Amino acid sequence: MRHLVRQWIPFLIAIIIALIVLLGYIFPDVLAFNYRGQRTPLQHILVEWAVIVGSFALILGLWNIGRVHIKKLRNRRSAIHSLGFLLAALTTGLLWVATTFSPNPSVSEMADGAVQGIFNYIISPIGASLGALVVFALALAAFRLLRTRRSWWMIVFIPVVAIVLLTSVPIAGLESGPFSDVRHLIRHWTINIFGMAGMRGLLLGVVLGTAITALRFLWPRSES
Amino acid sequence: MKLLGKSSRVKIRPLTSFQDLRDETGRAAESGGTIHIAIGNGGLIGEDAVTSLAALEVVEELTDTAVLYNAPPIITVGDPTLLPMAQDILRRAYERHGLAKRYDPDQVRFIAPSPVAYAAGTASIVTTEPVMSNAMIGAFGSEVSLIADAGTRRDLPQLAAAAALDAIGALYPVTDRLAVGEELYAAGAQMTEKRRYTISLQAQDILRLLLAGFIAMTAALSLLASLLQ
Repeated sequence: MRHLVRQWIPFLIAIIIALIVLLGYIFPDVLAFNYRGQRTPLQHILVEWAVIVGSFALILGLWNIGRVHIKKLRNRRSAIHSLGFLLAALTTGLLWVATTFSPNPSVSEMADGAVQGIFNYIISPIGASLGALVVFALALAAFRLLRTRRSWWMIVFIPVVAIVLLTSVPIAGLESGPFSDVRHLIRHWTINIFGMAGMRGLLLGVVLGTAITALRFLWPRSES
Repeated sequence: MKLLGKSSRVKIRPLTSFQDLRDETGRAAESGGTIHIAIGNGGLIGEDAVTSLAALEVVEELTDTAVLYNAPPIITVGDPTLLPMAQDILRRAYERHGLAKRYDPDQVRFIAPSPVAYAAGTASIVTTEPVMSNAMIGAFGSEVSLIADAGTRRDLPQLAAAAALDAIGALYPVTDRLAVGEELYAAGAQMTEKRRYTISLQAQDILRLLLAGFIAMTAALSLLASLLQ
């Protein structure tokens, strides 16, 4: 009985749902009714269910973040970060409550403006600066590589990086004429021929790996 | 992966990223710290679902060792759907060893749903927590370099496995213990050598050969057709 419950019932549920989704893509005209009573492809209903589960997972995630930071605050470990996080979360949460539930339209409008302000003047600039930091981290890693790892692959890696950079950036005086054609040709062969071939090989492997791993997950486990 | 003729045992090509993971956990425990595993931003709803599940397989195979050493890993997730899955894996590992009371759900942490914020938050954990080894396995983009940079600054041993091209590009300069593309999905086979994993690897190899043969054949045929015209 335990075997049936722990292995075969989840297996059957997974297989049936996978088949429904697959058939939904093969026969897109097969329709069902969603919770609003509208006609919709069958797999969309399952996606809606998944989104509902995902929303609950997000609430669980917020609870998790809150717990971790309260614990850090109690232990006085990175307390300033945790305090900052909790205050920011509380402020944003209160503003959202005021925007959504306030009976007074002017209060609701003001809270909405404050939320927009937080997004426009705090979250967006921080996101942009973190994005810029990624570029620096990548460049730094490449420079460190020259110092720390000396292998035969570096003989390939470094010239390829140099070629792609030099043929991608505009160079004064070389934007027209025969040099320009040579640059474009080198860039084309490096990126579109060699690079693309490697990328396709890699992606082919990823697709196969994904398909086989998905099948392995669908199959019931006979060993634990 | 190779088939050894007579004995029909499957020999798996060694992947240093996964081979060393258990040893790293032991070393981290002996140093009074723990191992950090970042499993990325891919959720269970979306195109990165299987990559995330493959990353969770690694976590699953590692937790027993970590629980035995009493050094539970810090697991960071960037998608809330991975949170209960990773917590459940950790909880079951404690239960298997009769240590259910020691289970702490906060060892698994949801950082942020946006990729860059997740990377920045995780980098902060790598910097401030007693992490002795840093593993990045799952669905990432180029922002993973922020996590890797935090590990490099602390001179931590780093292991990584990624399927996305931009993440591979970002991780390649950081660690030579990098599993690339399909190697990520071979983690289970590499770490356990269980039959279900090795058989799936064999199936993958056969499919790859068939696909490569098909591509070569169509290329040869199209070349022949163009020559005959």
